[in-house]
Amino acid sequence: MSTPVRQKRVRWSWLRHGVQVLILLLFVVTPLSAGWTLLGLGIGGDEMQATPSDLVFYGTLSSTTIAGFNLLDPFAMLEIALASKTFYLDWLLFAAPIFVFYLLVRGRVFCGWVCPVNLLLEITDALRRKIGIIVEERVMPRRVKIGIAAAVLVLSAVLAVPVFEIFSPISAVNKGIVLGSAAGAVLLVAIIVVELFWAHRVWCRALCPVGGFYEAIGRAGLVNVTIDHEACIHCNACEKACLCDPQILEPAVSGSDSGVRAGDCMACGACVEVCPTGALSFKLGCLPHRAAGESHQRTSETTVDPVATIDSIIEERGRV
Amino acid sequence: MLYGERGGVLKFGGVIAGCAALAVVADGIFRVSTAEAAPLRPPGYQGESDFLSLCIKCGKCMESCPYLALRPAPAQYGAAVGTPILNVREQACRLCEDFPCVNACPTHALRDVEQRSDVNMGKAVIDEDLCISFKGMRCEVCYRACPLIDTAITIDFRHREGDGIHAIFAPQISDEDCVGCGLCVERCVVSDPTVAIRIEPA
Repeated sequence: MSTPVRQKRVRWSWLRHGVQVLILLLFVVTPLSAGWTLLGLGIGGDEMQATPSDLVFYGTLSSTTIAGFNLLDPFAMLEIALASKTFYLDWLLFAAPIFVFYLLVRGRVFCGWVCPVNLLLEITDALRRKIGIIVEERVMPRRVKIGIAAAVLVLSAVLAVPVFEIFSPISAVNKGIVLGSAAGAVLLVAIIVVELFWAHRVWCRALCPVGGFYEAIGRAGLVNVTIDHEACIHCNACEKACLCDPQILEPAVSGSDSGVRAGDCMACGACVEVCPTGALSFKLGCLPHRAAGESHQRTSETTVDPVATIDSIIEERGRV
Repeated sequence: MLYGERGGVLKFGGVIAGCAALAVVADGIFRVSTAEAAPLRPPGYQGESDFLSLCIKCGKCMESCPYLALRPAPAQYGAAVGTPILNVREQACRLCEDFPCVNACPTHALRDVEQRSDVNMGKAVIDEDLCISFKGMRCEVCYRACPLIDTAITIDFRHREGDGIHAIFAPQISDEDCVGCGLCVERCVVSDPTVAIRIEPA
């Protein structure tokens, strides 16, 4: 009886929470280190004061400057291009790094690893469990948010205003803390109330246009959860753990696909972490098409190993 | 029994969720339909509709203002909530030589400012019924506060009407040169019932 050593698996959730908090703190630390007060409570005088813009990093999630280089939220860029019916070439330069990053990694990595609303809702989850409120697991129409993203863009063009920036709950957290902005506050409270009393992640799974935008480019991502069909014991632990929508694991678990292909996957790692047999793991590279050609794909995957996750390396060692 | 209780909880949750959704819809209708008078905007502003179509409310202009004069518009500004505005009575624009707010704007909602005369935030307007200079007192605080002294504000001194001895030192705004920074408003000594000078936003 040889029980493979499995204790040394990557705690993806903790790693992810670390990144979420770090990013939140990054935006908080800059105004503070410039001597400013958060929530827009600072008061100016007759003398010039140091500003966050003097530092290497400043801004909000809509636009950040790192070492003098501007970054721009690509979805906001689309909104203003349509609202103003103009286009400045440097917008493209500012938005491209962010767009290409999520395109190459995985669209909704933003939702899982960066978005402060998700962090807040995960805290709400924990809170709800503590209070003992039961909410039903409801199936959400997860493609609706792509439609909402499209609708936001059309409305932005019609109303000549970047519409989502009025309501964005992401702004409500990020800019509320940094600047004291009230934009999006009502929607944020509504999202938390619905999360607490009605169903899991109605906003993130079905409604958020930023999530919809990233879902639309999600399938192109190179960070994918793959499945070892021989190791899978169909315990459904992964589906219960899935942060975005249990449905997206279905093709992989049922054996019809080699991994999680849906654009919805935010590579949060919850399923990888919870899998008792290590059947699920992160792999870098395109997801092999369907299970049929699996044996060919496996060799090609091991040759592209260098950036493969620690998780799979540990697993490989366990096997030898 | 247990089922009934659970059903009760779920129904309650549904009602709360419905109320939350209604609140969001009401808030949305309010935001889009509210048309508050255009507020005072930072330098580089090119008109309200142009500005609202380009501003993503990133707050970088606010984070680059060394006088902390730029603030996010509060909730009553409807769709403009979170955009940069000035309350010049509290903190006016100092018209920095290098315009950090304009340079910080990543979307060019603020643009085309190379020197102070390119700025067009608004125009100062004096309420001659309230201004103590027009009553014959020496004040000229606005004149001395003005970063464009002797250009945007000049002093028109003349004999007081029907008075052979006393003079009036009346501040005059040049509509052509005033850029609307609001320092005159911040410094004005009159506050009752209102400040004697205000900025009409561009």
